[in-house]
Amino acid sequence: MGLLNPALLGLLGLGSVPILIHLLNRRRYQVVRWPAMAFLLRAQVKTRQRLRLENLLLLLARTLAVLLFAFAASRPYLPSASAVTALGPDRQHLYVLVDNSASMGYQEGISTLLQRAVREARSVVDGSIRGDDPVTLVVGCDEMRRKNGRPLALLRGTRDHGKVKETLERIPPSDARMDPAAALAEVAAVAEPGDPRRTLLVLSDFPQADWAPVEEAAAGGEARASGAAAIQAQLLRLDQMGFELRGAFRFLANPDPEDVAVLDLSTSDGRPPAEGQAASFEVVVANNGPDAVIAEVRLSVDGREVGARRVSLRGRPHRSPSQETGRASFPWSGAAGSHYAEAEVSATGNRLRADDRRGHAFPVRERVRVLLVDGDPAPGPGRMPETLLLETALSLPRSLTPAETKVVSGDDLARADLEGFDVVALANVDRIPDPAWDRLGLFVKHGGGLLVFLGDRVDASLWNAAASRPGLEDLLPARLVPAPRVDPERPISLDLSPSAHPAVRDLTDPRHGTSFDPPLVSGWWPVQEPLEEGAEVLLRLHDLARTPFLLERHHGRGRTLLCTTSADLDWTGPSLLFAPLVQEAIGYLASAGLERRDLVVHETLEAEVPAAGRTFSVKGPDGQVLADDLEPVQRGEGPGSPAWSRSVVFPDTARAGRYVLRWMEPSGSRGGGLAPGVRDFAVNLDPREADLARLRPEALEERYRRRGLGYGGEADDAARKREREAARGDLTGTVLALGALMVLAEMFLAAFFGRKRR
Amino acid sequence: MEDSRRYLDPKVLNRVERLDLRARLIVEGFVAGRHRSPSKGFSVEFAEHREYSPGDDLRYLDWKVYGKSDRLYVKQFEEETNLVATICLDASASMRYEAPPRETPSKYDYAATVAASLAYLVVHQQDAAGLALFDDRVREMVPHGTQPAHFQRILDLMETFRGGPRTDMAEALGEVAEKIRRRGLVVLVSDLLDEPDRVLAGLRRLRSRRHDVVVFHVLDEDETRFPFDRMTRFEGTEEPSPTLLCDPPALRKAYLEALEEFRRTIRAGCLAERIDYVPLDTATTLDVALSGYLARRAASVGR
Repeated sequence: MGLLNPALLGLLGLGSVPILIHLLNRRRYQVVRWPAMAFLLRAQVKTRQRLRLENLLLLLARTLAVLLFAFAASRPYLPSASAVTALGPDRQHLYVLVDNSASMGYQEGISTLLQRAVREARSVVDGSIRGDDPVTLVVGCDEMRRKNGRPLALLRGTRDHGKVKETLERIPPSDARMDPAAALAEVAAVAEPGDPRRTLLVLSDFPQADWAPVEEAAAGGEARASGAAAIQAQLLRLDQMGFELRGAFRFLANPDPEDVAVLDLSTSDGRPPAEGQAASFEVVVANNGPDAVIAEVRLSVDGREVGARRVSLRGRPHRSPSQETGRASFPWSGAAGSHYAEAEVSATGNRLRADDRRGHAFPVRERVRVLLVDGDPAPGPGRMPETLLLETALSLPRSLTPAETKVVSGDDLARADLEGFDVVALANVDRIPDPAWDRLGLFVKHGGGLLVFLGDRVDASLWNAAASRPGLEDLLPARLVPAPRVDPERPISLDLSPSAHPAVRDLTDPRHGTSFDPPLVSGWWPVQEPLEEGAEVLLRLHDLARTPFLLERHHGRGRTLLCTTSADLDWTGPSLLFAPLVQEAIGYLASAGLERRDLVVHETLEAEVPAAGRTFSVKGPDGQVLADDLEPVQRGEGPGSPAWSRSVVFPDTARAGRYVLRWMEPSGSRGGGLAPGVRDFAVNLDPREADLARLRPEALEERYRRRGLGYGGEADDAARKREREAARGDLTGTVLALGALMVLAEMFLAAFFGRKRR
Repeated sequence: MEDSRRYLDPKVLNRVERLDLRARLIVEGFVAGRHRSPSKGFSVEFAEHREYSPGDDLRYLDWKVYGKSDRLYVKQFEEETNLVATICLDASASMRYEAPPRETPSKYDYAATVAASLAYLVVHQQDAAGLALFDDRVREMVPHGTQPAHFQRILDLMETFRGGPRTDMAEALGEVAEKIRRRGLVVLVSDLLDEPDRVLAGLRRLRSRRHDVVVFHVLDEDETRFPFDRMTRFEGTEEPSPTLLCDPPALRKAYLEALEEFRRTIRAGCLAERIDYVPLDTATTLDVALSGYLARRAASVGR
């Protein structure tokens, strides 16, 4: 047994009061000279024993009553299950959800929010529930068991509170983001059917982006609105399951955070640079705090500092759905190969370190390798090969996309080895054998780019038939009408309205508008509309019909760009736009198919590797080898088969930072031997973890009051805590009842024994 | 008349300090209720002759009868056949019990008032009244007499006498029986707080002398109700004087049972001896006392 107020146990001394009163009364008496003593003495003899027993019983009842009331003041409780079952009031099953996501690393005072959450949870387990109430512990980002960063119940219905507290202490901070809806769903999933009462405790910093009411979240976009709705639905579900939501939400953090974060790091054009090509890295930083700050941004590539910038950031308005951002640009150029850039921000009052860095892994190519397929290699006098202008555009000294080209005819396409190229460009090719189409489809599917220029040699029916081939349904952006439209007398200019598409963004940038005169197009192939599903028009002619000129479609990891006119001057007048258009298109196609090397924490790292490569290993952010001699996963029948691919899969990306995949492959040199291969990957925090705007308690309270849920705010927290304390096997009520019973017994005995006073 | 009756209430009577006045008020009050005059009743009249015996007082020779019959006869007057009432008043320490100040008189005052009232009534009915004050033995006696001065003497004695610390009913009543030569009425006014056997033995002694006996068993209101609520140490009034510290409510029932048993014993004993037993307590109105006396008186005259 335990005592909630042991200091009051001294009141047990009051049990001597009835005895003292009894003794005092025997000294405080009146004296009467009594004539009829004989009768009195006779009465006394007759009743002596009975009187002794009566007096004893009365004294016992009085003393017990006092003792019981005094004992009740010390608030005894019984932690043992059997005693609780016999005596106690209702019990409860406590469900604790601990948010250990990256944002919980925020430092307030000497503790992080996660440490504060653990302390709070321990305090509740120690002080607010019975000694044998079951506890279920759910962690928001599992880094201990399955290590997948998803919500998981670490303990289910355990009555060993020591184990609960030990497990709480062992919860590691995670770099992942907690999905609140999934976490609440996990709580609901592990709820035990026989629970007498369910109490929920959610320990989190309650990011505004996740927990705001749906109507507020909508201002931040559809994704946010959807997430908020999912949380709302889970809370309603828990409420219907009988979870006590009053006081469930423990707000651990100051609603006004102080923090700056790196939100994004990428090249300004979104494409990996080529060797020798000047690239510009753009760093986006954000301020979560209410006050303006000056942030210092540093960029390093491959561990070598590139530069530092100061960025002035305004304070974030209260309850603003978006952060105040600033940008810093860093020029860089480097050798061909795999590289890793890292941006770091620092500022005064910056309390979350996890979002101060962000990495970006990217390749630097030597050149983009382009296979040009000339549909009319021998055009005849007065005409140029279809690919001449393409070749010329790509070989210009200051090409936006340094490239090396190889020209083949349409007939040679069937025999060409596409593996060594990044982009295949078709120029007025009339017929392509089906196997070639299939190989082109695989090529694009595996990340290659296909650039198609039409012309007078194109056969629409063959083209359309190819578009319908099994496996190629989403290769070509559009089907063609039976015949092209050619009208040299009435050429139509190209519409260069600004577009955000990376392939044409710079071309249509108004800042460059005076550099390019729109080309005049006299011939083109109209396309059938509506377009194929997923196709997008990037450029149009400046006519009433807004005829599509340049179209895109995604196929697997690669892209197809279709230009409805020819690559030569047959259908299009000369224009300075042609070369940058081709360069941008080639550059876009070459980068679009690259495997993604920037991942989010816990996202599986998957990389296509050379067929001859072996001894694959992965090194983690701390430099330690995380996996050695990984076995690649092969898909398809074998090298050369249509669907063949070979990939290394590595799921253990729990920590943010630089991951390096290494292997050995034949060097290709005359002497043979092996050469190392390397590929960098950047694993970053989910950007949403860097948005520290927090839900305010009164907003949550208002929301749940409006929906009739039980949450009642701080006052109910206190009441809830008292109730929990009272429910903790408290015997006070029982002891008080026994004391009252003793009082009644004393009154009854006194009346029964005839001790009535006149 | 109505004013007189109110003096039958012991509470009212307690406010009258003079015993003679109390007695007069009681009797007048009592008689007023009965509508009879105390002066009526008995007078001194010639009653009858009897033959002269040597030693008789020659003053009472009836010479007229001698003249007619030549035989000597003496006169017997009514006076010789009137009631001789001896009032035996218990003056022992137990009769001096005085409860905390209250409206009703003390036990002795009540008993003395009864005794005085009876004496007044007797004297005013031309009967002779005498008094015996006793505790463990007869301490004072006033011979029978009919004069007012005699009555006053009885009253003075009752007012001033203080008895001893012990009671012996058998001894005292035996003495009274020896001392009263003429058969008459003996009125015992006492709390009878002695062994029942000894009380009844004394009463039997009186009956053996062929006295008519009336017992007025006077107890205090406290003795009959035992009203004490708080812790009390009771100390005996007569030697030996035991003490008892107790919680009175705890003993009340047993005490009253013991008292009732005592009364039953006395009543039964009196009944067996054809003694009138009149239980009184200090809250009882005094007409009860007088009614008892008159009943016996009437019975004795009728014989």
